[in-house]
Amino acid sequence: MPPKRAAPSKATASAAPTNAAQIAEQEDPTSLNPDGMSSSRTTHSREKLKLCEQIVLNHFGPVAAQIATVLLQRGRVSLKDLERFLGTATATRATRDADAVPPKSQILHTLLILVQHNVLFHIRLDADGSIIDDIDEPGGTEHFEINPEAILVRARFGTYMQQAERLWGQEVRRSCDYSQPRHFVH
Amino acid sequence: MQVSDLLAQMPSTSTSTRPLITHLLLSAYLMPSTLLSHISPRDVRIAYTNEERKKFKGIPGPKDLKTFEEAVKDRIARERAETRGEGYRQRDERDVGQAICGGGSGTANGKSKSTKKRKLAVDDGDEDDDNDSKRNRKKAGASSNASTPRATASWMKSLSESQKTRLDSVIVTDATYLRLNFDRFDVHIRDEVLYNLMSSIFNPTTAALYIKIVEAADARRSDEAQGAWPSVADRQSDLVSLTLLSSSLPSSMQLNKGFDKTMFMTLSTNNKPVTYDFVAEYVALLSRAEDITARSGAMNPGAGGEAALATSAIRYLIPGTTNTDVTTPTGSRVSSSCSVDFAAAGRKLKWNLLKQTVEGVFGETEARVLGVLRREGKLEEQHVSKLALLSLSDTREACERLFAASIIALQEIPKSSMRDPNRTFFLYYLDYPKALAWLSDRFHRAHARVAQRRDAERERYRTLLNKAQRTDVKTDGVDKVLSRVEVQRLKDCTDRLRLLTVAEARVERQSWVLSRMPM
Repeated sequence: MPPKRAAPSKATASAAPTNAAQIAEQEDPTSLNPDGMSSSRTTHSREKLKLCEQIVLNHFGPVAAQIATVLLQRGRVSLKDLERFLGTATATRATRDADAVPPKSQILHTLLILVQHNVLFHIRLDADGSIIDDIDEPGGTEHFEINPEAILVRARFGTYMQQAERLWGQEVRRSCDYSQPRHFVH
Repeated sequence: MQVSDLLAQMPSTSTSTRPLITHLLLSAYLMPSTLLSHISPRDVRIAYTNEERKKFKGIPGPKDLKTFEEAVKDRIARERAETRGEGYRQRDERDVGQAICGGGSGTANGKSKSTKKRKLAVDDGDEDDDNDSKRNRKKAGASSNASTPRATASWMKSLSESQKTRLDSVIVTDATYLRLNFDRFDVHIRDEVLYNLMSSIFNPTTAALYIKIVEAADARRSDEAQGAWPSVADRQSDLVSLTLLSSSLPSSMQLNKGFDKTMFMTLSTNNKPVTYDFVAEYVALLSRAEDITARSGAMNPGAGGEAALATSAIRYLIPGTTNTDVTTPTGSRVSSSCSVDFAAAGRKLKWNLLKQTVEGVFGETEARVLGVLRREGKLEEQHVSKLALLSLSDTREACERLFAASIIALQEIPKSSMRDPNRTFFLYYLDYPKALAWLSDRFHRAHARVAQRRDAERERYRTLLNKAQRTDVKTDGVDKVLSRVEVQRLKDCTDRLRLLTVAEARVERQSWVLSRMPM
């Protein structure tokens, strides 16, 4: 019997009213469909991860691709772990040209860019796991997690800009252009 | 990205830029981005659950855990709803320089920008009024002339009245951080995809009317409540009244083209069909009004295990439950309002994709076997061969190949308590979610490979492409600066790149349909 598609536990609202669906969609604006439509949103197959790597390489450059590879394979890592994994990362496509591990400043810069583009989730947790909200409060470790759905959406940016231009003219296209600037970190 | 930074980085802004950004914000194309949106949803849930647990004294039992979950859900939903309504404030005399949709003029005034804040972590976007008091820099030269800025941009003309009044009264705050709302843009992709589907099933005129109904429902949704927007996740749209629709259709739309010429010939000349009749006729067609079994409501199954219930009789429009029924010129009765069923169209699209891919990858035999299994459920090999009108050996081969690719699955039913393979029924069935997962994986792989190939091509021709980007080549033209061989190579290269880009876009669109359209 084909298994019933249960609503994934990540979404909160039940499938019933559309308002709830919208709120839950707002919950994870770039990920799940609360109707449980496709579990492939939460589970990421190897092919999907390879595709994400490729897109990051295209859009952000080889250093970002290196970092993204580690994050995609390892999930949520802290900064120290990230450096450690980068040091021992096996050669991938991205590292063909850049052989050395990128310096720490470059890693931080790349992480900043990825966060700015909403590709990277970041959270600062203190010792017992609660979120540190205040920027200036010292201590706690910062954890990074990549958001594969946000990367896959980037492939559609061309379509979005075309739509925007069709609806609102050149100005909007330029403003959309600038809200996703391309930064290449080499 | 912050609004003030956005305005600073754009090459040219006009008086209608801010209202444009406000309009985008209000109609959910842009969303305010807060600290919460930069934290993974899983982490948020875990952290909030931990907080709830700390508040609780003692060891929580299963019921308590459930209450924690509910509390966390509500909290997250509330916070999201709050951020939705932020990012803009009421217009006041500071914003007089901005273009206004409706009336109103005023004396010019300089605009001001709030201080830029750049930090490693993104700020909270909801410090509207605080930042207004922190203005310490007036935007130089921003004062417009004394002439009234009633210049309306072209996009403003298509706004509805309520949207215009809303836009007149609020404007975006400079300090807000914005992000694109991809779901809202996806709605346009969805409309395009639906148009193509309807065009292929029926004809372009029907498709055009269908899209008009979809757009009407979307417009109604975005007009209605603040915070509601038409989303791709909607399984069914809002109700659209046919009377309102037929009066708002453009006169250039020739609805009679979609029907055969002889269809309305039997009517007397007094009863010549008008737009409303045509619309009703199309709606009757799309909602299968003549199909008696449709009325029982068993036509459009919901999500879940009823994928096997698929028949070719799908209703693309669902009639509303108003009491006023309308009779079309050809005699069918149709409700005077209808809603669009996106889930039905989504199901059909996904099935079409699966079938086409299986046919392309494996062959026609396998596609037939797949179709049979989908319709019938769990079958033995002999039954499949009978229903698919194939020989047993062909069926066996096809089933094996599909099983090896894990598109179909096997169910063993032993006849006795000893699990003897000779005395077991082996039933094949289509595991639909698994099949779609296989398909989606395939698309991702194709996408990655095409992108890789494109990179490789670009790398191969890198020097030539760089040369073509030189200013002298651009100004004088390719033919003048490059040699004949180079021109030919460049043309080959650009053709190949274009083909690859098109292929990538096509694969991307297919994987979008698979992952985003509702089931």
